Amino acid sequence: MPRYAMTIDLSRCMGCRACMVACKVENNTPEGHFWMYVFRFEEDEFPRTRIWFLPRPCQHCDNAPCVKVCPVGARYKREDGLVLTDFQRCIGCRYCEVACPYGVNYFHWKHPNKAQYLDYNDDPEVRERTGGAMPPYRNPDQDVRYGQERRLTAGSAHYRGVIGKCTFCVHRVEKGLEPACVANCPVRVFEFGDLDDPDSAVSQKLRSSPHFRLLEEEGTEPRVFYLNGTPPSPDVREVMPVKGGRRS
Amino acid sequence: MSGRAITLPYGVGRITPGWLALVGAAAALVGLGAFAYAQQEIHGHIVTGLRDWGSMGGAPWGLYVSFIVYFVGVSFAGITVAAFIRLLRLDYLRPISRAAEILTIVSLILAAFSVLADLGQPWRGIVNLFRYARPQSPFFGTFTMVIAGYLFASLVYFYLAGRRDAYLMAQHDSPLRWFYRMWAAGYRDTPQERERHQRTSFWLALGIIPLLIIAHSTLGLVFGLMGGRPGWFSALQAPGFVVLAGISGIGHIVVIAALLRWALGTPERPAMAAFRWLGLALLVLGLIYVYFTLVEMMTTGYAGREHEQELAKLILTSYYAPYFWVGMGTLAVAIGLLAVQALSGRWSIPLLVVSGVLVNVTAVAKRLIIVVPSLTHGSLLPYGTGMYIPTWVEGSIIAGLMGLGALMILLFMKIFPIMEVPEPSGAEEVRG
Amino acid sequence: MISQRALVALMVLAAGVAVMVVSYFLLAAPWGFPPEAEDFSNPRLPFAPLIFIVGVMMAFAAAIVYELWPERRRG
Repeated sequence: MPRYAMTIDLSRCMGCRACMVACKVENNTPEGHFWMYVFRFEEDEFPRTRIWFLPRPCQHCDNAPCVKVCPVGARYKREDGLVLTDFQRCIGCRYCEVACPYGVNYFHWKHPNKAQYLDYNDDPEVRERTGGAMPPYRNPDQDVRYGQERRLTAGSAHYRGVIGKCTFCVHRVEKGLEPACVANCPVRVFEFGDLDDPDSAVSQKLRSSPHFRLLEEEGTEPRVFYLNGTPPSPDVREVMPVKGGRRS
Repeated sequence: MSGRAITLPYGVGRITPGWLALVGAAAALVGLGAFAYAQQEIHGHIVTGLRDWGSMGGAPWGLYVSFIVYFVGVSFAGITVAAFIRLLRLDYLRPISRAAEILTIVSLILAAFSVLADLGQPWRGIVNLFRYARPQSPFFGTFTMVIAGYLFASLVYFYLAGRRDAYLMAQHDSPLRWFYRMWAAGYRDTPQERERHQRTSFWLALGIIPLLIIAHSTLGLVFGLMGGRPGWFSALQAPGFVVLAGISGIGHIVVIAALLRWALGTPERPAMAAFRWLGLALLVLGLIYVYFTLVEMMTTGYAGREHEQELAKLILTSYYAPYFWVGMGTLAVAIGLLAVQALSGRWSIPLLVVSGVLVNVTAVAKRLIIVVPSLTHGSLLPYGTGMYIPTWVEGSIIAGLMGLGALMILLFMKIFPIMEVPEPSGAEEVRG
Repeated sequence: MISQRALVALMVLAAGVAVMVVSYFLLAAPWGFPPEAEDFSNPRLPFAPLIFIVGVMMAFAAAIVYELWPERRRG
C-alpha cells in the first residue's frame, strides 16, 4: 500500500496560479471554490520588501481533525493516505470545515451546476466551432466510484449542500497519473508520490532539501511538505487574494 | 352524565380572544419561517449569509448553530427544576414543574429543527445520523444523548408526572376524554400509586441529571475540542455551556412562572418562595458565568497564542465589542437586580422578569460571540478577514421556530392543565 | 423480597444499559488515535447509533414499566 505525499518547492514557485486553474478545470469546482489555492505574500517594508508564494492544497493530514469530527464518516482517510469525502454520505453540517485549520474545505452553497464556467453542459455550438478540439468541460471521471471502498469521492460537480476539498485528484491517482496541479505546473514546483518508496521523487526531494509542514504545532501531521522555504511569519501580508463565491 | 357545564382546570378547553390572538401571532411567525425555509430548500444555503471561511471570507456557521446551542441551553432548566423538586423536595416549586417540563420538551424540538435548518442535506442527515453516526465526533453526543436521549427522558418524566392530572381530567365528560384515559393508563390515584410515582420520579430525576451534564458538555466540546480554532479551543467551553444553559433556562422559567401567576390568578399559582428560589439560582449561576468569563480573559491575555489574543482584542475592544458588551452588560444588570433583591430579602416579580429576559439576551449574544468571530477573524493561515451578515431567511426561520415553540405551548395549555391540579376537595366542579 | 414490577423494571434498565454499552463500544465506529484508516469512519454494524438510542430509550422506559406494570390480582 503506497503512502502518498506531496512536496512543494517554494524556491521554484512564481505564483502564476496555473495549478489553481488546472485544479479547477480537472475537478469542475464551482465559483469561489479553490481546492488548490496559492497565497501571494508580501513581507517587510520597502526597500527590503519580499514577495513569495505558497500553494495550499489539502494537506491530507495523518491526524486529520476533519476526519475526527465528521459525524457520519463521510470524510475519511484511506490506507494510502488520501483524505476523501463521500458525497453521498455527507450531510452538509460543515463541521469538517470549521475543524480544519488550513481552510481547504468548500461547501456547495448552491448546486455546483449553477455556478460553473465555460461550456460546462457540453454546448454543441462550442463543439461545432472548435471542430471538437476543445473537450467538454465536465470531467466524466468524477462519476466513477474509486478505491476498494467504491465511494463517490472525485470531482465537485455532484450535489448541493455537501462539502468538497482537494482529493489529490484521486481519479487520476487511481489511473497512475499525477494530480492535475503537479502535472500542469510550468516550473515543476510539485512532486507527488510514495513516501515508502525511497526512489520516488518525493522521497528524494525530502532527503535533499530542508522542509517544513504548515501549522506543524497543531499536531495534524500533514502529508504536504514545503521545501526550501520557511513557514509564513506573523508579519506576512496576503496580497492579490482570489475571492469569489460570495454572491448569490 | 350531569347536564351541568363542567369547566376544566386552568383554562383547558376554553378558547379566549386573547389566546386566539396569541395563536394567530405565533402562527404568522411559523408561516414566515416556513416560507423562508422553502426558499432555502429551493435555492440552497446560498440564500443565507453563510459562506466558507478562508479564501471566501465568510462564516460557515452562524445564526442557526448559535440558536441550536441556545435552544438546547434553554432546555436545561425545565427538567432540572423538575429534578430539584424531587431530589431536594422543593414543594413550593411544584406549580411550575409542568410548565418547566414543557419548556424542555419544546425547546429540544426547536433545537432539532434548527439542526435540520442548518444541514445542507437535512433529509439525508436524518437517515445517515441514525445509520453512521461516529462516537468520536462530538456531534454523536449531541445527536444521541441530547436530541434523542434527553428528549425521550424528559418525555418519560413528563408523561409519568402527568398521569394523575390525566386521571382527574378523565373524570369529566370532555371531547378529549379518550386522550386523558390513554395518558392515565389505569392510574387510580391511590396512596400506593402516588408513593410509587414519588419513588419513580426520584430515581428518574437522578438519572436525568448526569444526562443533562453530558448533553450540555458534549455541545461545549463541539467547540472546545477544535485545536485549530482560536477562541474555541478551551477546557472551559463544556462547563461554560452547562452554566449558560442553566442561566437561559431559568430565565425562561421565571418569565413563564410570572405569566402563569398573572394569567391564572388562582390560589394554586406559583408562590413567592418559588420566585425567590429561581432568583437565587439565577444569581448564583450568573456569578459563576462572570467568573468563567474573567478566567478565560485572564488566561488568554496572559499567555494566549497570538491569534487568540488578536481575537480577544477584536471581541473586547473593536469589531465585535458591541455584541460582547451588550451581552455582558445585560448579564451585569440582571445580576445587579437579583443581588439587590437577594440582599434586601424583598423579591419583586417584575424585576425578576426583567432579569429573566436580560439573561436570555446575554445567552443569545454570547452564543453568537462564541460561534462567529473565530470563523471570520480567527484563521491561523494569513487569509484576509471575513464577514457574516445573516439574511432575512435565517432570521425568519429562527423567528418561525420561536413562533412554533410558542404555538406548541399555547396549544398544549388548552388540552392539558399547565399546572398540576390540586387535590379535589370533594365537589365535582373544578375551578378554571 | 423484590417485587415483580421492580424486577422487570430493573431488567429493562439493565438491558437498556447493556444495549448502550454494546452498541457504543462494539458496533459503532471505533475511536482512532489517529483515525488513520477507513475503519474509523464506518460503523461495524450499520444503524448501530439507532441501536444505541434504543438502548437509551429502554433505560428510561424502565420507569414507565415500573409505574405501569399491572397490579397483581389478589385472590
